[in-house]
Amino acid sequence: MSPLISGCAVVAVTAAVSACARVIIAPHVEAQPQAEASELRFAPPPAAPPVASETYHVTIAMTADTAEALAASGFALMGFKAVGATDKAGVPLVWFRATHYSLSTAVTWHSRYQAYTATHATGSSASIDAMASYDIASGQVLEVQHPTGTGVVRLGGTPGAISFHNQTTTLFTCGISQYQAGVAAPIASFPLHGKSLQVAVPMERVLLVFATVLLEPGTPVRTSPGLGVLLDLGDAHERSVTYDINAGWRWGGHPWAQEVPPDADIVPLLIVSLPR
Amino acid sequence: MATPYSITITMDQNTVNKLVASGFKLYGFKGAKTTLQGGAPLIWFQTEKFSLTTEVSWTEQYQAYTSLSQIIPNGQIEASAAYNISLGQTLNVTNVSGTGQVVTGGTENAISINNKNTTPFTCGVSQVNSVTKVAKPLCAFPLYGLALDVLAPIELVMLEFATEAHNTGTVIYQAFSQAALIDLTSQSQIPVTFDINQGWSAGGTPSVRFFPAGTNLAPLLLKP
Repeated sequence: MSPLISGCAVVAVTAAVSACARVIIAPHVEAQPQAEASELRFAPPPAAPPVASETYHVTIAMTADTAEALAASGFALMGFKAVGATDKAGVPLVWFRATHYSLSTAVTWHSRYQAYTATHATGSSASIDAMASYDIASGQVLEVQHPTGTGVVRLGGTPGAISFHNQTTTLFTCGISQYQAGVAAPIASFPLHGKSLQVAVPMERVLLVFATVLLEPGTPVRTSPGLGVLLDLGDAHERSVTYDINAGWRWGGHPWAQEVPPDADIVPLLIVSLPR
Repeated sequence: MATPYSITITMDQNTVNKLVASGFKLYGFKGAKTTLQGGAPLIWFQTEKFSLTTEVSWTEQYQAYTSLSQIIPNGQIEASAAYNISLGQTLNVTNVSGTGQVVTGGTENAISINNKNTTPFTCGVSQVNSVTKVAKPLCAFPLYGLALDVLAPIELVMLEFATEAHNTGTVIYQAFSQAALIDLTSQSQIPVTFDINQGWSAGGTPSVRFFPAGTNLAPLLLKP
């Protein structure tokens, strides 16, 4: 899918750019209906209602020399997004990879999420990756009811967090997908052991990196593939930074950003440890 | 780098749950181009790992194998000697055990298996998982004494959901259930959907054709 492009060399980068998303377990994430009421054996808690979302923007400004040099070298803008968790086995995934950027590039997303479960068939000569995704909001829980990773989203769980309750004995990978321009892409993955509970808290913190290494969306990444900037949006909803191919990232020295060197360990920056 | 191919299967939750409740498995077959007669399609993969979105992916990585197994319906072909091989190469079978060496040369864009013995074998091509290196045979042909078999793997995949219990490598001549035949030669990523009552669909793309249960698979998958 092509990014939204407006005039004056302003480019909106969306996760839709990652239509070829390669998820660690399965690539294509789409909104799925919740389980039918007829499947419920007990009086269920109320189904999760839709939640209003907020919009966030990061604007990256660069000179024509930088934009042209980036393009000439085949750089891509890669995005990562943070989650809070108590599970130390979590790993960040490439959220988006975009080769569309220009003098002003806007990265926009909404506070809308999916919860996914994923499994991988072993011992096959084809790679077989199965995934189930559901729209979800903070304060809701995905109850995983079947070995396929399917289930139902309910109210309840840890306030402010997205919870996964595995009611089966099947080991899954699970995590949060972040919506951007109507398409959800996974941002983090965690193990979801049988009969266990996993909790992840969406955070408005993003890592932006220009890099030439080819990492498809959904790829687990532990070290920064290039020079990055870590941005906390907090209540601001908008941040502006500049990028120069030689001088790197600039943000006016504000406390809401920090530079992330190439090869830096990005796991603690993006899988933010919550108090147990 | 080998071209990655993928088929993404989308199903709704009702379908997934009912497939599981009824014990369905997803079966995959993969085609080959050859003028040889007497060949048999084999089960490339079978899995119970499927969900709302299921991706089947692979790259062009192959082995040539020889086997002492007989090609009989529902019989399982087990490779007794297998060698990594690329298109344009030949497996020279030099030993009566079916072992040999891979050499450069042979029919362009195909895999050749040249039996230097007078002992007959079963032979074919296996698809290799580029990550795990797991290899599973796709097809089986008779390899007579002093004969040359030439075949080219093609990006043609058949998918079926079925309750039958068969292992990979099993000789299957007829479709267990309604089957989707997906041709990825001009499009390396194809989405399809499956519904427990409506069957397979692919939005009308000519790259995907559908066949009813009982269809003879060999002419569809092993084509001249």
